[in-house]
Amino acid sequence: MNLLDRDVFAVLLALVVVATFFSLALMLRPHEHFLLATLLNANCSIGTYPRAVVNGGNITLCLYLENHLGEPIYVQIRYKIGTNETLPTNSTPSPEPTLKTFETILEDRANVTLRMVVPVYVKPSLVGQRIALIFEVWIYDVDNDSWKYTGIWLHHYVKVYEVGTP
Amino acid sequence: MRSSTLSALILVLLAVHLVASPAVHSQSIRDEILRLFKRCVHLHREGVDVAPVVATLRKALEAFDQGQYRKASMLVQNASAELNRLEREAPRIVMEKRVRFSITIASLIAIPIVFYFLFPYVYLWIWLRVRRKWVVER
Repeated sequence: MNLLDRDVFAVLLALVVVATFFSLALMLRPHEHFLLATLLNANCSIGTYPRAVVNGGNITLCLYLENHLGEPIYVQIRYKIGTNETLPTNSTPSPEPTLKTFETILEDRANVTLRMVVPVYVKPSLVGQRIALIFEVWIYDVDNDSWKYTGIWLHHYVKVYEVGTP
Repeated sequence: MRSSTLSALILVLLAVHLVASPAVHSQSIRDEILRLFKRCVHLHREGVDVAPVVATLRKALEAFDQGQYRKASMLVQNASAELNRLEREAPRIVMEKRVRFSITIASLIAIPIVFYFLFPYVYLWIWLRVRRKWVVER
Protein backbone atom coordinates (compact mmCIF):
# COMPACT_ATOMS: atom_id res chain seq x y z
CA MET A 1 0.00 0.00 0.00
CA ASN A 2 2.87 2.36 0.72
CA LEU A 3 4.10 1.91 -2.84
CA LEU A 4 1.41 4.33 -3.98
CA ASP A 5 2.25 7.86 -3.00
CA ARG A 6 -0.60 9.38 -0.98
CA ASP A 7 -0.51 12.71 -2.81
CA VAL A 8 -0.55 11.05 -6.22
CA PHE A 9 -3.47 8.88 -5.14
CA ALA A 10 -5.34 11.96 -3.86
CA VAL A 11 -4.85 13.75 -7.19
CA LEU A 12 -6.02 10.70 -9.17
CA LEU A 13 -9.06 10.32 -6.92
CA ALA A 14 -9.92 14.00 -7.36
CA LEU A 15 -9.71 13.59 -11.16
CA VAL A 16 -12.04 10.58 -11.05
CA VAL A 17 -14.54 12.43 -8.83
CA VAL A 18 -14.56 15.47 -11.13
CA ALA A 19 -14.97 13.29 -14.25
CA THR A 20 -17.84 11.43 -12.60
CA PHE A 21 -19.69 14.60 -11.62
CA PHE A 22 -19.11 16.03 -15.10
CA SER A 23 -20.65 12.89 -16.66
CA LEU A 24 -23.60 13.06 -14.25
CA ALA A 25 -24.18 16.73 -15.05
CA LEU A 26 -24.14 15.94 -18.80
CA MET A 27 -26.66 13.13 -18.30
CA LEU A 28 -29.04 15.04 -16.04
CA ARG A 29 -28.88 18.50 -17.60
CA PRO A 30 -32.17 19.81 -19.03
CA HIS A 31 -32.18 19.91 -22.82
CA GLU A 32 -32.66 23.21 -24.56
CA HIS A 33 -35.98 23.23 -26.41
CA PHE A 34 -36.13 24.89 -29.79
CA LEU A 35 -37.47 24.52 -33.29
CA LEU A 36 -35.24 25.25 -36.26
CA ALA A 37 -36.68 26.52 -39.54
CA THR A 38 -34.77 27.64 -42.64
CA LEU A 39 -35.96 28.75 -46.03
CA LEU A 40 -34.14 27.15 -48.98
CA ASN A 41 -34.31 27.61 -52.72
CA ALA A 42 -36.06 25.37 -55.27
CA ASN A 43 -33.15 22.89 -55.17
CA CYS A 44 -33.52 22.72 -51.39
CA SER A 45 -30.14 24.38 -50.85
CA ILE A 46 -29.00 27.79 -49.62
CA GLY A 47 -28.56 30.59 -52.16
CA THR A 48 -29.90 31.63 -55.60
CA TYR A 49 -33.36 32.48 -54.39
CA PRO A 50 -35.84 33.79 -56.98
CA ARG A 51 -35.97 37.60 -57.05
CA ALA A 52 -38.84 38.20 -59.45
CA VAL A 53 -42.09 36.44 -60.19
CA VAL A 54 -44.95 36.94 -62.61
CA ASN A 55 -48.24 37.92 -61.00
CA GLY A 56 -50.42 34.82 -60.92
CA GLY A 57 -47.47 32.47 -61.28
CA ASN A 58 -46.03 29.91 -58.92
CA ILE A 59 -42.75 29.88 -57.05
CA THR A 60 -40.96 26.86 -55.62
CA LEU A 61 -39.12 27.02 -52.32
CA CYS A 62 -38.07 24.50 -49.70
CA LEU A 63 -38.37 24.72 -45.94
CA TYR A 64 -36.05 22.85 -43.61
CA LEU A 65 -37.46 22.01 -40.19
CA GLU A 66 -35.66 20.48 -37.22
CA ASN A 67 -37.51 19.57 -34.04
CA HIS A 68 -35.77 19.93 -30.67
CA LEU A 69 -38.88 20.65 -28.61
CA GLY A 70 -38.56 17.44 -26.61
CA GLU A 71 -41.66 15.75 -28.04
CA PRO A 72 -43.29 14.96 -31.41
CA ILE A 73 -44.85 17.94 -33.14
CA TYR A 74 -47.55 18.42 -35.75
CA VAL A 75 -46.36 21.39 -37.77
CA GLN A 76 -48.37 23.60 -40.05
CA ILE A 77 -46.69 26.13 -42.34
CA ARG A 78 -49.06 28.96 -43.24
CA TYR A 79 -48.17 30.78 -46.42
CA LYS A 80 -49.18 34.43 -46.74
CA ILE A 81 -48.29 37.34 -48.98
CA GLY A 82 -47.57 40.63 -47.26
CA THR A 83 -45.63 43.83 -47.28
CA ASN A 84 -43.24 45.41 -44.80
CA GLU A 85 -46.25 46.66 -42.84
CA THR A 86 -47.89 43.26 -42.48
CA LEU A 87 -44.94 41.09 -41.50
CA PRO A 88 -45.46 38.82 -38.49
CA THR A 89 -43.64 39.38 -35.20
CA ASN A 90 -42.28 36.92 -32.65
CA SER A 91 -45.60 37.01 -30.82
CA THR A 92 -48.25 37.78 -33.44
CA PRO A 93 -48.85 36.27 -36.87
CA SER A 94 -49.33 38.36 -39.98
CA PRO A 95 -52.86 39.76 -40.38
CA GLU A 96 -52.84 38.70 -44.04
CA PRO A 97 -55.05 35.74 -45.03
CA THR A 98 -53.50 32.28 -45.32
CA LEU A 99 -53.21 31.31 -48.98
CA LYS A 100 -51.89 27.80 -48.56
CA THR A 101 -50.87 25.45 -45.76
CA PHE A 102 -48.27 22.69 -45.59
CA GLU A 103 -48.31 20.13 -42.82
CA THR A 104 -45.94 17.54 -41.46
CA ILE A 105 -45.38 15.50 -38.32
CA LEU A 106 -41.93 15.35 -36.78
CA GLU A 107 -40.55 13.16 -34.03
CA ASP A 108 -38.21 14.66 -31.44
CA ARG A 109 -34.69 15.41 -32.78
CA ALA A 110 -35.75 14.73 -36.35
CA ASN A 111 -35.74 16.95 -39.41
CA VAL A 112 -37.63 17.23 -42.65
CA THR A 113 -37.40 19.31 -45.82
CA LEU A 114 -40.72 20.41 -47.28
CA ARG A 115 -40.90 21.29 -50.94
CA MET A 116 -43.46 24.06 -51.40
CA VAL A 117 -44.99 25.34 -54.60
CA VAL A 118 -46.79 28.54 -53.69
CA PRO A 119 -48.96 30.82 -55.79
CA VAL A 120 -48.07 34.50 -56.08
CA TYR A 121 -50.94 36.82 -56.91
CA VAL A 122 -51.22 40.38 -55.72
CA LYS A 123 -53.55 43.30 -56.35
CA PRO A 124 -52.55 45.57 -59.29
CA SER A 125 -51.27 48.31 -56.97
CA LEU A 126 -48.51 46.01 -55.74
CA VAL A 127 -47.30 45.00 -59.21
CA GLY A 128 -43.74 46.21 -59.74
CA GLN A 129 -43.18 46.46 -56.02
CA ARG A 130 -41.37 44.26 -53.56
CA ILE A 131 -43.63 41.93 -51.63
CA ALA A 132 -42.88 39.44 -48.88
CA LEU A 133 -43.68 35.76 -49.15
CA ILE A 134 -44.35 34.88 -45.53
CA PHE A 135 -44.10 31.41 -44.03
CA GLU A 136 -45.36 31.14 -40.44
CA VAL A 137 -44.66 28.05 -38.35
CA TRP A 138 -47.63 26.85 -36.29
CA ILE A 139 -47.73 23.73 -34.15
CA TYR A 140 -50.66 21.76 -32.80
CA ASP A 141 -51.11 22.31 -29.07
CA VAL A 142 -52.23 18.92 -27.79
CA ASP A 143 -53.20 20.29 -24.36
CA ASN A 144 -55.54 22.96 -25.74
CA ASP A 145 -56.60 21.11 -28.91
CA SER A 146 -55.79 24.06 -31.14
CA TRP A 147 -53.12 25.42 -33.47
CA LYS A 148 -50.57 27.67 -31.79
CA TYR A 149 -48.29 30.23 -33.45
CA THR A 150 -44.69 29.44 -32.51
CA GLY A 151 -43.36 32.94 -33.15
CA ILE A 152 -41.11 31.49 -35.84
CA TRP A 153 -41.59 32.92 -39.29
CA LEU A 154 -39.59 33.22 -42.48
CA HIS A 155 -39.98 35.57 -45.37
CA HIS A 156 -38.55 36.12 -48.79
CA TYR A 157 -38.87 39.32 -50.82
CA VAL A 158 -39.72 39.15 -54.51
CA LYS A 159 -40.69 41.73 -57.11
CA VAL A 160 -43.95 41.01 -58.88
CA TYR A 161 -44.35 41.70 -62.58
CA GLU A 162 -47.24 41.43 -64.98
CA VAL A 163 -46.80 39.25 -68.06
CA GLY A 164 -45.00 41.26 -70.71
CA THR A 165 -43.41 43.72 -68.28
CA PRO A 166 -39.72 44.18 -69.19
CA MET B 1 -95.63 8.63 -61.62
CA ARG B 2 -95.05 8.51 -57.90
CA SER B 3 -92.65 5.54 -58.09
CA SER B 4 -90.63 7.22 -60.84
CA THR B 5 -90.25 10.34 -58.65
CA LEU B 6 -89.10 8.14 -55.80
CA SER B 7 -86.59 6.36 -58.05
CA ALA B 8 -85.27 9.69 -59.29
CA LEU B 9 -84.89 10.90 -55.72
CA ILE B 10 -82.98 7.73 -54.75
CA LEU B 11 -80.71 8.16 -57.77
CA VAL B 12 -80.00 11.78 -56.86
CA LEU B 13 -79.24 10.82 -53.25
CA LEU B 14 -76.95 8.03 -54.45
CA ALA B 15 -75.11 10.41 -56.77
CA VAL B 16 -74.69 12.97 -53.97
CA HIS B 17 -73.39 10.23 -51.69
CA LEU B 18 -70.87 9.02 -54.30
CA VAL B 19 -69.60 12.55 -54.93
CA ALA B 20 -69.37 13.45 -51.24
CA SER B 21 -67.94 10.10 -50.08
CA PRO B 22 -64.22 10.64 -50.94
CA ALA B 23 -64.26 14.04 -49.19
CA VAL B 24 -65.84 12.56 -46.07
CA HIS B 25 -63.41 9.64 -46.17
CA SER B 26 -60.38 11.91 -46.63
CA GLN B 27 -61.52 14.09 -43.72
CA SER B 28 -61.83 11.01 -41.52
CA ILE B 29 -58.24 10.01 -42.40
CA ARG B 30 -57.03 13.47 -41.45
CA ASP B 31 -58.95 13.37 -38.16
CA GLU B 32 -57.57 9.92 -37.43
CA ILE B 33 -53.97 11.13 -38.06
CA LEU B 34 -54.55 13.96 -35.58
CA ARG B 35 -56.11 11.59 -33.03
CA LEU B 36 -53.17 9.18 -33.31
CA PHE B 37 -50.70 12.07 -33.08
CA LYS B 38 -52.26 13.19 -29.77
CA ARG B 39 -51.98 9.64 -28.42
CA CYS B 40 -48.32 9.60 -29.54
CA VAL B 41 -47.57 12.79 -27.60
CA HIS B 42 -49.22 11.47 -24.43
CA LEU B 43 -47.31 8.21 -24.72
CA HIS B 44 -44.04 10.08 -25.35
CA ARG B 45 -44.64 12.13 -22.19
CA GLU B 46 -44.95 8.88 -20.24
CA GLY B 47 -41.48 7.96 -21.48
CA VAL B 48 -42.20 5.59 -24.39
CA ASP B 49 -40.24 5.96 -27.63
CA VAL B 50 -42.87 6.64 -30.30
CA ALA B 51 -40.48 7.74 -33.07
CA PRO B 52 -41.38 4.87 -35.48
CA VAL B 53 -45.11 5.56 -35.11
CA VAL B 54 -44.60 9.29 -35.65
CA ALA B 55 -42.54 8.55 -38.77
CA THR B 56 -45.38 6.36 -40.09
CA LEU B 57 -47.89 9.13 -39.38
CA ARG B 58 -45.70 11.60 -41.28
CA LYS B 59 -45.68 9.25 -44.29
CA ALA B 60 -49.47 8.90 -43.98
CA LEU B 61 -49.84 12.68 -43.99
CA GLU B 62 -47.58 12.96 -47.04
CA ALA B 63 -49.62 10.30 -48.86
CA PHE B 64 -52.81 12.12 -47.85
CA ASP B 65 -51.50 15.43 -49.21
CA GLN B 66 -50.66 13.71 -52.50
CA GLY B 67 -54.19 12.37 -52.74
CA GLN B 68 -53.13 8.75 -52.13
CA TYR B 69 -55.96 8.08 -49.70
CA ARG B 70 -55.72 4.29 -49.82
CA LYS B 71 -52.01 4.35 -48.96
CA ALA B 72 -52.63 6.95 -46.25
CA SER B 73 -55.42 4.83 -44.79
CA MET B 74 -53.17 1.76 -44.73
CA LEU B 75 -50.36 3.66 -43.01
CA VAL B 76 -52.81 5.05 -40.47
CA GLN B 77 -53.98 1.50 -39.69
CA ASN B 78 -50.35 0.37 -39.24
CA ALA B 79 -49.64 3.31 -36.95
CA SER B 80 -52.79 2.62 -34.95
CA ALA B 81 -51.87 -1.05 -34.46
CA GLU B 82 -48.32 -0.16 -33.39
CA LEU B 83 -49.63 2.52 -31.03
CA ASN B 84 -52.08 0.04 -29.46
CA ARG B 85 -49.19 -2.35 -28.85
CA LEU B 86 -47.02 0.40 -27.32
CA GLU B 87 -49.90 1.53 -25.08
CA ARG B 88 -50.37 -2.05 -23.85
CA GLU B 89 -46.65 -2.41 -23.14
CA ALA B 90 -46.15 1.14 -21.85
CA PRO B 91 -45.93 0.26 -18.11
CA ARG B 92 -43.25 -2.37 -18.78
CA ILE B 93 -41.31 -0.12 -21.18
CA VAL B 94 -41.38 2.82 -18.75
CA MET B 95 -40.32 0.62 -15.84
CA GLU B 96 -37.42 -0.87 -17.87
CA LYS B 97 -36.33 2.60 -18.90
CA ARG B 98 -36.39 3.86 -15.30
CA VAL B 99 -34.46 0.83 -14.04
CA ARG B 100 -31.84 1.23 -16.79
CA PHE B 101 -31.48 4.92 -15.99
CA SER B 102 -31.17 4.26 -12.24
CA ILE B 103 -28.52 1.57 -12.85
CA THR B 104 -26.54 3.99 -15.05
CA ILE B 105 -26.65 6.75 -12.42
CA ALA B 106 -25.78 4.34 -9.60
CA SER B 107 -22.85 2.94 -11.64
CA LEU B 108 -21.51 6.42 -12.29
CA ILE B 109 -21.73 7.37 -8.60
CA ALA B 110 -20.02 4.10 -7.64
CA ILE B 111 -16.96 4.76 -9.83
CA PRO B 112 -15.09 7.06 -7.34
CA ILE B 113 -15.90 4.71 -4.43
CA VAL B 114 -14.68 1.63 -6.32
CA PHE B 115 -11.62 3.57 -7.43
CA TYR B 116 -10.84 4.57 -3.81
CA PHE B 117 -10.92 0.99 -2.53
CA LEU B 118 -9.61 -0.97 -5.51
CA PHE B 119 -7.02 1.28 -7.15
CA PRO B 120 -4.25 0.74 -4.49
CA TYR B 121 -4.53 -3.04 -5.02
CA VAL B 122 -4.60 -2.67 -8.80
CA TYR B 123 -1.56 -0.41 -8.59
CA LEU B 124 0.22 -2.94 -6.39
CA TRP B 125 -0.59 -5.78 -8.81
CA ILE B 126 0.72 -3.75 -11.78
CA TRP B 127 3.84 -2.77 -9.78
CA LEU B 128 4.60 -6.42 -9.06
CA ARG B 129 3.89 -7.53 -12.66
CA VAL B 130 6.27 -4.92 -14.02
CA ARG B 131 9.05 -5.97 -11.59
CA ARG B 132 8.54 -9.76 -11.53
CA LYS B 133 11.75 -10.42 -13.49
CA TRP B 134 13.82 -8.30 -11.22
CA VAL B 135 16.61 -10.08 -9.37
CA VAL B 136 17.54 -9.21 -5.82
CA GLU B 137 21.30 -8.91 -5.32
CA ARG B 138 23.21 -8.61 -2.12
